[in-house]
Amino acid sequence: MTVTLTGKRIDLVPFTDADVPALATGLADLALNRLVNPGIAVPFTVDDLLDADGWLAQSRAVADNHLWSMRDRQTDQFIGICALDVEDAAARSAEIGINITAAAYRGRGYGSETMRLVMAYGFMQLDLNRQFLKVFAYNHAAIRLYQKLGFQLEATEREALYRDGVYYDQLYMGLLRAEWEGHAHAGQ
Amino acid sequence: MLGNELLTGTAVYLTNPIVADADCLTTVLKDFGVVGSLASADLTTVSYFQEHIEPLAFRFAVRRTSDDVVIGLCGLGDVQWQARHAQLTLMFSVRSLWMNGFADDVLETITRYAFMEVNLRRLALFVPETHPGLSAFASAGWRVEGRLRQALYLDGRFYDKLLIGLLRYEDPNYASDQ
Repeated sequence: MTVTLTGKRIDLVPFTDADVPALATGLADLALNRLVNPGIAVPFTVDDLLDADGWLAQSRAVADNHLWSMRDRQTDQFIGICALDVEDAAARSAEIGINITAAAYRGRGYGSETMRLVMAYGFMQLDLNRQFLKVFAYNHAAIRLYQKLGFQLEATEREALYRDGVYYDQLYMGLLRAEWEGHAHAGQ
Repeated sequence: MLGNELLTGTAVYLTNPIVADADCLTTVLKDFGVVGSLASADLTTVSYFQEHIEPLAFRFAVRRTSDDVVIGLCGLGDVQWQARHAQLTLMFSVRSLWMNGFADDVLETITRYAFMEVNLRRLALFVPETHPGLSAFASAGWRVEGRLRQALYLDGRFYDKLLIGLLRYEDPNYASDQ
């Protein structure tokens, strides 16, 4: 079950079908699509997202997966999504991912605020020991954000992505609970 | 070349898994050894086999040439056609693959198929850090690409998961075209 998380400028509310059109519009922007989608970029439609075999349906079907809509607290506008999927319950390890679909909201700290909320929820409420993410080597803004949040580079999937005639790496970055606890206090 | 040697190794050959393999595979896979496995250990029923194994593309039963006995499954999962890579899938007990001398043969056969027929250029695999096959992978040219810390919990403690990868152009057997 996904609960609502409240930040200073952002509400994270459980994602519902009502948010699908806004998400589809965001993912139809191929520039954004190619920052988050490791496969072939195709303009997304609402039907693609609602497809029972699609990634959204498959992801939402897993009980331990959390998917939030990011909403501007002042305007209630949908600006993107954030997910926390438990990848290994025994190891208490989960994958975190964020996607700000509203371009005007990027580079202004909304991603950082959202990530901090979800990371804290994962460690403090779900008692996770590890959170990790995958990021494309050419997504420099995202890599900078994750480094600032304390994620460590753990693995390089060499030439796992193909874009514009060039093969790029996909990076795995991970954060252990003990590291987050030290990092979180240092940041206060 | 272009003959029937495509899925044939020296002492093993690869074919489609059939329902009759389910019992033998269950026996094989129950003997995991202390390493644990990243694959589900649930191959205990024919129905699981029919639901999860039979319909998969690029999933092969590995049989001994000497007596046609199946020793495990191997194949290619999560194929990414755009970037031309796949996950190597291996379902063997520690004894049936890593201690009986078949590992190099199986790796060479499935790699040859992946690069020369499916036209992939990269294979990858996640393994526990205690995996008995690490030296076999290294001898075959696989590189350790990273370490996912404390990503596994077995027998009361955390272990790291290693990401290992093989790029076609690094392997002199297959580097001729990209």
